[in-house]
Amino acid sequence: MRILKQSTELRSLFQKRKIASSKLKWGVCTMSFVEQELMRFINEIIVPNVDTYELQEAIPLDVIRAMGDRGLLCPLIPKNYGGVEYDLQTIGRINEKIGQASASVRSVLTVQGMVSLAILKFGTEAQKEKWLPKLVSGKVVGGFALAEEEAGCDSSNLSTTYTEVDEEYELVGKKTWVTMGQVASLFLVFARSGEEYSAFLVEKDRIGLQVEDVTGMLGLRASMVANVTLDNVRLPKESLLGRLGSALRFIVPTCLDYGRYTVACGCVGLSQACIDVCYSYVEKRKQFGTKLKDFQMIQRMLAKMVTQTKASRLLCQNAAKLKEEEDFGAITDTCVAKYYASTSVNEVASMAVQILGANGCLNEHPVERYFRDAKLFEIIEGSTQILEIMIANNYLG
Amino acid sequence: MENEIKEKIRSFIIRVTRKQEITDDEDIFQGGIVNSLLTLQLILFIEKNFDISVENEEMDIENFKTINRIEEFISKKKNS
Repeated sequence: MRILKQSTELRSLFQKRKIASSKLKWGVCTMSFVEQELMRFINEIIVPNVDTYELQEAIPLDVIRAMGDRGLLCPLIPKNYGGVEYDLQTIGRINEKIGQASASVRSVLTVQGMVSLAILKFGTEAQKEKWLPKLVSGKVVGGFALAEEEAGCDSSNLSTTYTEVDEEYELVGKKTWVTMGQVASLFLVFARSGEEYSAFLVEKDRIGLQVEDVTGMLGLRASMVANVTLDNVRLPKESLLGRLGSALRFIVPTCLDYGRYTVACGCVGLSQACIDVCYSYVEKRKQFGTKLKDFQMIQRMLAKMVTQTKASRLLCQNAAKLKEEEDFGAITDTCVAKYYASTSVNEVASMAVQILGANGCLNEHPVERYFRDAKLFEIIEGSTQILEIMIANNYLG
Repeated sequence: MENEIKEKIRSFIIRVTRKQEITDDEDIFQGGIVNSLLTLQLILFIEKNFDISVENEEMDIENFKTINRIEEFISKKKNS
């Protein structure tokens, strides 16, 4: 309740000053009002509770709704559907900052963003009006149900099927690794009918839909992953999203492109978190009577961490710039940003553990979580290997 | 005008696929020439270079499967 009350007050303040602050740039010296409010939210609500989320492998719904109250969940959505319509650079910074505090909490932004973007771009007006305001506010949490046991990277190998029965669609199959699936009340489900792949909006309470919690993840432990079984789930015709057969060519790549961008920005945040912990540690820790910061081999690691993080951030900014210019190279450059940022954050997190030594292996220090979370980033929204293939084959010069 | 559109499209597809040549009737999806990433790039290219907007109901692979189909789609949009 405290969080909700506080979030209502902040939203009001936030909206009053949003227009006035729109000309301010995000930066180290001139922190905009949007960023000030974001940092306040992160420091007051997320940071003190991160360990609890990890331990319980869950994020309270109140926190998701509090993000919705601030327009953080679906920041791309236009104002006429209740959104804030931020530009991609701002969305990148939001993902970086929340990702710096908690990679699990940040994962909500990717999923909610992908589901809402799919509805915005491919939905009918009725679907937009029905779902977008609820997704923006967090009253409805979305689940992106693409992966299956035998279809991870290879989404053309889906075995979930749809058939037309009595003027309805009937879905049969099982979806895996649905982030936020434990609390999602709306699933974007991808299914096939022969060689035709289509997308459907499926409410959690449909008869035949079962959600099974997945626990014991290596990283992103609080991202509330679930498997979803569709046992002859009947859907009205208006549950179809986009045209029949448009899923693989249009809807999936559009969603994953946004997903990759936000994940890449999340990697930058996690890298920055590693750097911040290390700088604080090397300042205090002494060995052989000397502070760690004065050892050149430590400095070498810090230099690499800083450089790689800055490079990742610049690649994300470049991807956002190209997207806003509607440059067709934006899609490949987003893959480049995600590829570099996700591989890089693994090196950065590894160096962070190395700098903290045995302390870095204990869950009393956040770098232990950073190290585990980093690995997941090399797998989600296109594994490192898939991205290597995509970049190599789509390089435009 | 028709040829101009076709040549623009052809040079884009050749550039992104590194194919030596492509005929007007060649199915660019059938032969695996265009992957899902390139489909989005193609749409972005068409929207920006021909100053049109591809609507949701037009996101049909039939509109984009050959250079001839793409040209027809663009010309129809331009004249509507």
